[in-house]
Parts: sequence; structure tokens; C-alpha cells
Amino acid sequence: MTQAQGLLGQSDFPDYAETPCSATSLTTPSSVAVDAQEGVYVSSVGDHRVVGRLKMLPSLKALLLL
Amino acid sequence: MTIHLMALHKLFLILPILIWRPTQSTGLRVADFELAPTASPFSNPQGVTVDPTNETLYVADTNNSRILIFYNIYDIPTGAAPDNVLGQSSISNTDTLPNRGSPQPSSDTLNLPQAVFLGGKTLFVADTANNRVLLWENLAALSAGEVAAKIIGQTSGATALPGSAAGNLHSPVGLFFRANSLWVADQQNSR
Repeated sequence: MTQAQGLLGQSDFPDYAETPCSATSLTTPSSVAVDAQEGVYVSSVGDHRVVGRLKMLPSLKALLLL
Repeated sequence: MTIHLMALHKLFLILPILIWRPTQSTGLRVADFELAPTASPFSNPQGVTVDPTNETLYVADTNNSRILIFYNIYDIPTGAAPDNVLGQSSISNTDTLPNRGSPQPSSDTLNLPQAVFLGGKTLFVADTANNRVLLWENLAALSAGEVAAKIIGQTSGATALPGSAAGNLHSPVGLFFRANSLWVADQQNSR
């Protein structure tokens, strides 16, 4: 059986409880999209927001170019 | 002094790896940004899709019956305001009624859109409560409240009739487009 290789919105795979709206939580997520730089966008419907995670911050890209 | 410079150099090399290497032991990752516009808040935003070429994010703001558009997504800050809108005449939080307050739809209105998908150069929107899918093209030149270029599921822009025939839809909620084919999750028709 194929298993998930990553997780967002919960602290670990057995967890399922909804947490209060925070920068690490999702509430009834409905849709996900990925951009060309592998940034992830998730609609967190119950929080009335869209949250995103960039693969690499621009500031860190600049460091890599040094 | 030389030792300090070498240590700093090593820090630059190691820092990105330490921060961004994926781990399977925890999924509790902090979001890099959060979009929740304060001037015109989302209400149950259900669908998201990205145009990587034009660096644009489209959000189906379902209960406000609109699609909000964010440009320059690779530099998007937390709390960024949307740049454009479809389905309503403006981004204002007073323009949030289904079909812009009319009892019937038109080709530039939405009613509880649940899904949005970018396929090629076309934006597909599942206009769920209007029982249709709308297509917008020429995305680089969209104006606020632009009229859709094409409609699927209805014979005109002024109807919202559900149906089960091959040309009809009943509450479309999911979209996918590839190789010139559009896939629609036609929820209330169970197909």
C-alpha cells in the first residue's frame, strides 16, 4: 500500500483533531495546487483563507547565489 | 578573522539544507504565507489553481460567488489583497451576491463556484449552483468582472437549469483539463 510521504496541517499521521486556526493548521481543506517552484497552496475553507508554503524563500535563494 | 569567515561560509552552505530538507517525522510545518484579505474577506474559499507561467493564483471564493486573482505569486506577502476578480463587478466586499443579486445568471456572474482549474491558457470555473462550467481565455488581459468566453452545461448564459443529458450538468464540483479534454465531477448526477 502506498503511503503518504509528507503531511501538512497535523503534527503526525495518527492525528486528526482540528486545531484552532494557526500558521500550522488547516480546517476542512478542499483544494490544493502546486506552482512551478513546487510551492504549495491549500484552501482552508473553514478558516476562510488560503495558506501556502514556498519550497524556498527568495532570501535563501539569494544566499545560495553568493 | 580568517576562521570566522570560513565558519560563516559554511553556515551559508548548510543553512538551506537544514531548514528545507523534508522530514517524515513531523508534518507540523508553518505556512510561509496566508491569504485572508481583510478589506474583502474570503467566505469558504474552496478551489485554488496556479498559472505558473504568469505567476498567478486563482481562488474560488465560493460563498462570495467570485474568483479572486492574485498576481506575482512568487513574491506574495501574507495578507496580500487580490488584484482582480471574476463573477463580480469589483473586489469590494459589498459585491458578493450570487449572480450579482439577479435571479438569473449571465455570462459574467457566478453562483457558489466550487472549483477552478487552469488548463493551458484557459481558466475553467465550476459554477456549481448555476449548473455550468465557464471558460475564460486571454487571461493576461482580463478586466474585473469579464464576460466568460464559453459556457458548458447550458445553452445560454441566462439559464442555470440542471440536467442529466450529455450536454447538461448538475452541480459540477471538480475539474481537470489535459490533452484537450476537460474532466468534470458532475456531483448530483453521480458521474
